[in-house]
Amino acid sequence: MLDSIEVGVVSGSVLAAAATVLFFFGPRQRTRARSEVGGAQEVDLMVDGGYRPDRIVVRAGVPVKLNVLRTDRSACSEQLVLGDLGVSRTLPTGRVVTIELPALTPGAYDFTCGMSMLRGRLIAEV
Amino acid sequence: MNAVEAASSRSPAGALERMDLAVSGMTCAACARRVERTLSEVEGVQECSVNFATRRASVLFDARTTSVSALAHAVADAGYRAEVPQASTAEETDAAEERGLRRRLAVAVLFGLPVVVLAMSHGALDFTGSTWVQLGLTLPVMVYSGGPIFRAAWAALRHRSADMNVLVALGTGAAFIYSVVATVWPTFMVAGDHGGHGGHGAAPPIYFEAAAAVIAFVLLGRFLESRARTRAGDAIRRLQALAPSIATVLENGVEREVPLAEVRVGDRVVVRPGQSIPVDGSVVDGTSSVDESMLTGESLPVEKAAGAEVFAGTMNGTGRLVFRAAKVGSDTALQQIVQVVERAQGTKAPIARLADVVSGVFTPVVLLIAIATFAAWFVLAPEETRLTMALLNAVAVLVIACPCALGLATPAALMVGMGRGAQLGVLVKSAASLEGASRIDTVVLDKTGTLTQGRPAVVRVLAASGMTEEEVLTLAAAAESASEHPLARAVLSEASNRGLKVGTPESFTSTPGHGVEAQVGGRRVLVGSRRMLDGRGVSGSEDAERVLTTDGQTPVLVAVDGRWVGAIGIADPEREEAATVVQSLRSMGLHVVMLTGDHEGPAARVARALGIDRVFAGVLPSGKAHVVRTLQAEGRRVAMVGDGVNDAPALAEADLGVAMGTGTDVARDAAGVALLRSDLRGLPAALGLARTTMRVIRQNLFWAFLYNVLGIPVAAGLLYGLTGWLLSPMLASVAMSLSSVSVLLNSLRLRRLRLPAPQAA
Repeated sequence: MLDSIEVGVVSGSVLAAAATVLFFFGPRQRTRARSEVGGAQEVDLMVDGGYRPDRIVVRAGVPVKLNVLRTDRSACSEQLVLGDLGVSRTLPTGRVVTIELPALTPGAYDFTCGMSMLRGRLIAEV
Repeated sequence: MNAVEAASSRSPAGALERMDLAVSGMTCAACARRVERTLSEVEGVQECSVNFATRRASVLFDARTTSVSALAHAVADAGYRAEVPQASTAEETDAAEERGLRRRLAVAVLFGLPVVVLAMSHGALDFTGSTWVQLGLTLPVMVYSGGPIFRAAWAALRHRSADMNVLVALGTGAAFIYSVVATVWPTFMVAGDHGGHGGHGAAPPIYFEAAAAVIAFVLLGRFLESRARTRAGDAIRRLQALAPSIATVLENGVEREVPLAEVRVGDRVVVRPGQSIPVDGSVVDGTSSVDESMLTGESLPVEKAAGAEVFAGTMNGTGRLVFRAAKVGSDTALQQIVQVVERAQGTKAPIARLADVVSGVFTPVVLLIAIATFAAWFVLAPEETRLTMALLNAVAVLVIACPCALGLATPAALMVGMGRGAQLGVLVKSAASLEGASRIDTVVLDKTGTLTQGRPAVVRVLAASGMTEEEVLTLAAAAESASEHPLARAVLSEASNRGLKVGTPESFTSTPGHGVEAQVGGRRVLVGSRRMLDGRGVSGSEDAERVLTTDGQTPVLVAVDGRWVGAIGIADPEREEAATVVQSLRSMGLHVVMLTGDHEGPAARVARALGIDRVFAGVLPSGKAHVVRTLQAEGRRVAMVGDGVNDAPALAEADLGVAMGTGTDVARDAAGVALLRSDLRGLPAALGLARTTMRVIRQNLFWAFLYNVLGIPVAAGLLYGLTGWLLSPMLASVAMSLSSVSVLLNSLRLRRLRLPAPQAA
């Protein structure tokens, strides 16, 4: 039989596990790209141990400009890869890198760090 | 690549430029407005917007009125800093990074080592207050050495993402906080743990040495990793360093040195002897020889005079050149090559799909395993040691798990392999092409220009009775003098070599694929194939034709006024390296196929001479893709080698398209692999590179998976019941640090890849 402390620890562990799953895999806030009249839609993407925003909604059929600024120095985040679009860029710390993307067809395009641990998603909607 | 990728676009007026500058020193939105106002007031600036979030100023200015330097100075006068893109800045940042890492590692070793010695002495070095001493020594390790790890972990968690820093921070943080509580408030631990370690009021165990040692080993691992990563990217850095950072521009007869970023299309650029060329352009004045080997692999210097093209990154010889800039910035051939390689290095190989999926969920899953480990040990371990065992095993799980080994397995090998390829003149367009290239079993080579020199030459002239060789050649050359056909060029070249006086035809008609008909000195001369002579009812050439074809030559028949007078045997000599290359390909287990539009005879001769397995002769240009499909229908995985322009359909049809001799024109999309030099030896090198790189990737993935699959259960104490094995967090951190370093070292072996040496065929 478990004593009361063990029951507490097991219950706490179950709660911690549930919180971990919800924290990492739960729903995330979406950010819309700024639209420029007659031009590409622009998004400012900060890289600082993760991506902010990490859910970007853009209009399908309009070119996209990603202005990426990496402020951290972790080796993990120095590459930004949009695998589905064949785009990969090295991000120097503290400098803006502008990545120009073509007009996208509707769908979700994941972007990740070079090691696929940091993740974000570009969602093209009609 | 420039750190700021300035989207520099000209207006139709041709003088307006848009430039993005990185502005540092801004602390609030008011600063951004001030910078915006400052830039707007610079003469020539048409438009300016400063984005505080991205620290970016986007400026539209008149390049005739102002310059990037002027903009940067104006921002500096306002108390901020606008960066002119410079390739070296990234290297300086890396160097500063490494110095910081070294300092933090030194502190971790200096303060952590005594803690480990005290902890490992098993009471031999015990003294009153030793735990407090250990706490005091561990504190700088946690705060200074481990600070960036904790900050990075916090940043990741704020974004609800997780990387290795999260695992290390949680593991060492838990061990440290537990030990601090046990030191400052030992009775709490004893009470809370029903007697603690040894029971009845004995001091609870502390694990400062685990926290300090893990931080030290993680930093050591990162230090080794950063050295290895730097070496992995050497090839691209060396390519980028070929272009100088300063260019000399000629304005109104005066030479002026300007930063490379300020050179504009149309500027007259001066290159002195021994200098490297800053941008692409065409020579307007001067003569010199230029070493282009770094770009095209061609070892001989290329003579340059007015009208010749020059390329950024190539080395000027002994003359002074003035040229007009045609391509600047990211448009130069050198930058195109760098971009192709950089993009390719970042693409995903299909083989790494599983690793990518695993990497994405790795850290959260490890956290769940650590939580489960803690709970299981707390419940199953003896009451007096349950808290420490639960904690230690959970910490071991956190620090042994290494997502980096998994995450680095593919990109590290691609980075080294593709970088090395670029140095050898082999450009691989994507990881998928590389993977495809590693699985090729059949290579299709076009004969003319690929296996042969593409310069047909007259080998033999047969004259009918009553005619001399010279007469036959003179007539044929006169008739062919207006033709652009390669065989016609060969006839004219031979006539010229023999010093023959060739006349001009009074009239000339050409039938593509058959030959030419001309009036020469009042006589009707036919020069062409058997089909042409048959069509005009001319016969008698059969024997001569047979002789030449048997010798592997292409017969060009000559008739005068309806009578056959001679035959000219033409052959295209094989490339010097062709036989060696075919032999290399065959020794790699590849089936080598030749296709040609030529006759069976000459094709068979070349195939025999080179040791080729199979020949498709008489193939029209439009039929090349069909040959590729035929081979694919036999279940073969086909690589097609061609020039990337005429062969585009066949290259696209093949499992792997290899464009050969692309020189500085790297933007050819039909091919998955481009060989920069017109040397066939790049082909086995490319296929060998693909196979070796894929082998290294497979090894990396295997070890990274195996390491985690075995390491995590052992750290969780799964083998304890069977073997009594438990892994101390310290050993776990050593293993974790070594795993990613071993993946990098394995990838670095690709730097030693060599081109097959030229041998006499």
